[in-house]
Amino acid sequence: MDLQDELAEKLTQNGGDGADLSVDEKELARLLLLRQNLMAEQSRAFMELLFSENSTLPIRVKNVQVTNGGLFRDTFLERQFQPLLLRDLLTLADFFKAIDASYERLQKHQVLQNCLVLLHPLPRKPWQTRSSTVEVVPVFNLLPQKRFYAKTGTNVGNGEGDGYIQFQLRNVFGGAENLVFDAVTGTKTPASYLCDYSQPLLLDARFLWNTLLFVNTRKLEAIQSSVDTKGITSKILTRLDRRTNFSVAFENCWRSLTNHGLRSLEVMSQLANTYKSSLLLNAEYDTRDNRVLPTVGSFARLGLEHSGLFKFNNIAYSKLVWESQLAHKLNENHSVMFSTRAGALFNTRGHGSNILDRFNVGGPNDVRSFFLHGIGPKDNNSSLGGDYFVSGGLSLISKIPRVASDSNFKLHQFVNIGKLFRNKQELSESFAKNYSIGIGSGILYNHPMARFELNFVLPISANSTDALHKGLQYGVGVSFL
Amino acid sequence: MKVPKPLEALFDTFPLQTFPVKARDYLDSLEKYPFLSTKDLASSNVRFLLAVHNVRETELRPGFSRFLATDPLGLADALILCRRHDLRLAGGAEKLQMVQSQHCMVPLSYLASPDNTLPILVETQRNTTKCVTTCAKISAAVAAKSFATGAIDSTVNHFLDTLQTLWVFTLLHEVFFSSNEVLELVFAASPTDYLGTVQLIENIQGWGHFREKYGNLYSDYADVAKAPLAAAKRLLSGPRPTVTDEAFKKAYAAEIAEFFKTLPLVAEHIRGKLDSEAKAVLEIKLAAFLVCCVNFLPSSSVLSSLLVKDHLKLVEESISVVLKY
Repeated sequence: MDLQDELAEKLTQNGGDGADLSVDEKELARLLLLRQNLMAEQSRAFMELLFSENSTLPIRVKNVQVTNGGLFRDTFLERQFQPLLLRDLLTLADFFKAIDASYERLQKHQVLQNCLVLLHPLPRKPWQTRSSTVEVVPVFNLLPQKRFYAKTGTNVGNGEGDGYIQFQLRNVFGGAENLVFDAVTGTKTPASYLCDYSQPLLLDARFLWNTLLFVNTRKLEAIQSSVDTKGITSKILTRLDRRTNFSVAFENCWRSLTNHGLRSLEVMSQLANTYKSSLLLNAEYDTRDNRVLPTVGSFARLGLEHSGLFKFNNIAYSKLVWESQLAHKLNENHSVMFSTRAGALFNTRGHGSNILDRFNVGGPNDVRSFFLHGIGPKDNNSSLGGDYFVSGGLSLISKIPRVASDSNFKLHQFVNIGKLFRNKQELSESFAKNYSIGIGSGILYNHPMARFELNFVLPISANSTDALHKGLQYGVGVSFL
Repeated sequence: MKVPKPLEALFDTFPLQTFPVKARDYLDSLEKYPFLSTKDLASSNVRFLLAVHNVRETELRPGFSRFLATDPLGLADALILCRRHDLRLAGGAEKLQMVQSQHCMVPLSYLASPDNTLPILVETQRNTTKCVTTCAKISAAVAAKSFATGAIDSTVNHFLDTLQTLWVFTLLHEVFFSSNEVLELVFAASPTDYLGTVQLIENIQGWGHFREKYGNLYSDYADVAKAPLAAAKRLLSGPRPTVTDEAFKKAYAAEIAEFFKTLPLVAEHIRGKLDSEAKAVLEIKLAAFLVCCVNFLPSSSVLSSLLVKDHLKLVEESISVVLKY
């Protein structure tokens, strides 16, 4: 065994950290790593030079071979390798672009654990010695995701608890079709069953068609009621590698709002069955570096919903929702975020809006210093919501002193502002006045899946009907004001 | 742990500014049928609302119409409230000189009730709901107040309360063996609201202890679990009878026979009583049931047609009782 092997074995035994190595051994390890990097760099530079010098070299893709692709339909695979099969003859540069495109298409479907691409040049035939065309067979070695996946668990916290079970079937028909069944029972959601089927549209990973069947019962504490919802939503969304993406959805649901210790007459008058059919359009522009806690970039979303498409619908409205976020890095330690939200519900065809469709403002993820749905009119402790709303927030995110700069814990100062307007008349009368404002400071933890906040909050100005939250306020979520 | 006074005082200064919001009368969003009064009522902050399934203007005699709750319990409670508070039901040209009180009847969905049963009594003070009394509690309160003594009166009152089971049975009989017309009359249910109708029929069976009393009729429903295809077919074709519903018809016939056997005895008992609170309440409960049967059940229904045919005098007496209010 030579010195390198001996060292490698020693590093492996020590878990790779080299804690028990002598000074000389550490120096040797460093030099070995340096040599490895240098070789990789040299190799990469050589390949780049070779490719750039031969970028116009004609390449003929004889065929595309797939190993371990038995779980996929031929038509599906053919669609993914279309960039390679589109033309008979390619330049070397185009050939690599086509390889990348095919690889990305496969990855985007999220049905592969890994994918290795090997290139096999075919030997030239005796009569082709004068031709400069190289015949190549790319081989895609696929490692599919596990087809069946189940998980179960419980969530406890914040005075709530639930248990869930989820089954997931991936690549059901060999074309990246996914089927998810989800059942939840908890204190806030006594029962929820969801069946979610999704598949790429026309086998193209850029367009996803998603159909959701749902049956659930949710307690709405803000209006002391509970709502049983049964419905189906069909949605087509884009997954373009661009800043802007779109979605269009068609939703049908039957909602039954029932009394759950309610005292508000306004809400009582709304307790009934509603049949809703909606068409929803959504456009998103996103350049943020992180969706949960961005330090740079901007985000904008415009949503339009038109409800009451059929004769059997007993509610009708149009809804417009705007959301934006602008993040800017001030220096190494500080960044600011400016967020706005606004919404309008109109065109209710002469009837008042339904309480389930109205907007609500306030809460730890919205206008802080107020309880959930705490801003706006109330009747006997029930939040009535409003047809229009505006809210905004300015946050300063800072590194905690004497803590590593890559730590996920950050300091957070903010000012939030918001107002809910009951109807159009109130909007025109008091748009520019009497806003509810909250300020606060706290600590946040930026987990890749969600953001956790613990803030000390104080309301600065409020309307007499607002539900105020003074002191510590805790928030978890992916979307914050 | 007690918060130190200075800290508490500092906390109390927030919010630094509070904007007043105009108080609203959320009653405006409801369809109201105010009770009338002969007296000029002093305005009071306290008021009550009786939430019922539906209210219909009904001509009880030529030229004499009233806005009536369309179910016996709702009508009986409305009349009892009228008696207790010296109020009158809205409607009728002869009432033009009366003033509207702030108390009213409001049609609401049964989903508005905490136990999915109407009527409910909502008492408010300055727009704040003080109390929501459910149907069962109203009946218990009436019984406690009017029939604390007197075993016979209490028994008759119990019989009149259990007529709710017969009412539920009749509604279901109509829906299963005739048409959904009764649901339109009593609940203003839309004929196009199929899902809502199925849900309503499901809920009706929980009223008046019907499901507990006639649990045996549900055996074939339990069998449905073993035959899901048949269940799906039944659901799609609507709540219509099948050959296995023979038991339902028999039980209904027995219930009707029992009612018509007891009715003359009860009517005679009430007629023979001296004027009292107990007599008035019993009279109202019986009158409310008979008036609802005659006016809000289809004329082809067994109960309505037999009442008109064999007990017209009693029906006329009941109409007179209602017209007193």
